[in-house]
Amino acid sequence: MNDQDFERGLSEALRQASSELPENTHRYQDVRLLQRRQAKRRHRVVGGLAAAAAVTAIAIGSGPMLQGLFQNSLEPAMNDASGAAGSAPNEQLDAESDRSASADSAKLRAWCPERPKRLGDPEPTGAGRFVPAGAVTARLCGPERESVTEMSRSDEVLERGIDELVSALNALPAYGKDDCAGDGSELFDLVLGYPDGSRVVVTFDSQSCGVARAGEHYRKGASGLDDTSAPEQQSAGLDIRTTFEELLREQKSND
Amino acid sequence: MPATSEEPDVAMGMSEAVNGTVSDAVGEAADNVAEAITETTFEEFVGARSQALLRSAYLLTGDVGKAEDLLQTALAKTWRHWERANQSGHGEAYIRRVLYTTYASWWRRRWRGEIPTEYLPETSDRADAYTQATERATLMRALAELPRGQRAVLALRYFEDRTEAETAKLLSVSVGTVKSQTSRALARLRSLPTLTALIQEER
Repeated sequence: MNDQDFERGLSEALRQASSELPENTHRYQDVRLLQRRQAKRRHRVVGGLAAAAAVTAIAIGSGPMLQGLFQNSLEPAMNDASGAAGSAPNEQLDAESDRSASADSAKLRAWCPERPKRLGDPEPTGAGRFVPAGAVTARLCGPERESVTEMSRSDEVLERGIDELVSALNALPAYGKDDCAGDGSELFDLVLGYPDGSRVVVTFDSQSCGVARAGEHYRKGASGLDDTSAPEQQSAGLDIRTTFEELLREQKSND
Repeated sequence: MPATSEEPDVAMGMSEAVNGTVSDAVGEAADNVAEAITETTFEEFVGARSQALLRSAYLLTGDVGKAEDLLQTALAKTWRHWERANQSGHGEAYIRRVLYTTYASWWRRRWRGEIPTEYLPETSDRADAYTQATERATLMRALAELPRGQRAVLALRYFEDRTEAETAKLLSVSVGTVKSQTSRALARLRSLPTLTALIQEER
């Protein structure tokens, strides 16, 4: 095969490889959300810089006069607090900016997969850590838009209470070989976004057996545990869908 | 590949440097006005062309999730400048440039040490789907072995059918660099027996 043939073949292969990518019907809304967040952050940073410049200008202009007037009474307190007073605002601004940037990145990662994949045959994979800690966003994605409640249909991203949600997920009981294994008809994806831009998808059955899967790990109790579960396990169940919606409601009421 | 600017052509504007709360109100109002003016056309553009842009992003990143991230970031960066960028009908070229430059900068900053996604690929019983998936995997593995500069050059030259001069302009490098990167990338790909066999089969 000569060079020209190879190059033509490569062109065709590149086109074929990228020809069947999933459609994201919410892309415009996702971009709009991201752009607004970036605009808010930009204004906050510009406002902070302007305020810092104004404080500096006032301090330089009135410094000599104020120095004589207040030196005796203020000096000890200023010395005590000099470290914190001098650095705190900037550190706070940076930290806020970083957190916001991380959340933006994770929000991008929190887009919904096309539809939840079937759970397959659950296997006993033990209990304990189910998803990594440190998630900063969560989004609930339903199988069919109509079947998801009004609240989770709004494509809103949860940004508060994620640590509690992750802890509860990691406390889900182990799936046992004799446990209920049906897929049910209400499969959801909970998409957790992390500051580095990665995501973890927890697929769960919210109605019948309450099986949840993250990668190759399975847990049960994702629809809450009923009375037939062992007493010690009943408190460990987590109705993921209801919990997510409650957290989202709380987040909205605080905004 | 030399470092490139993440937001080319259109300057961010120093007018942002105004005072305190007034700046917030003025800035946000300006953004709202800009948004109202450009929203329809930008939305139309996203609806009509973003899937094509996603294909380029996918060839660069080799992962659908990363490609979506990259594309959305490029679109969000472009939003504020859309009216100006699109005035002469070059809006898409502008976004493509943001896409490629963002890719270059993200690769350095963000995608190392990523927690692997736990999302399982869809399985299929169909033989043709299996073959397609295998072929795609072969190609994407081969591309993954290339440095990001070479990969970007290949995507532009052989997927987007850009000339050497256009590729050089988009990536802010010289035509000589495009030639040498292309040559090295092709040599590397030709040395991979599985890829050569795949391309030979298709022809």
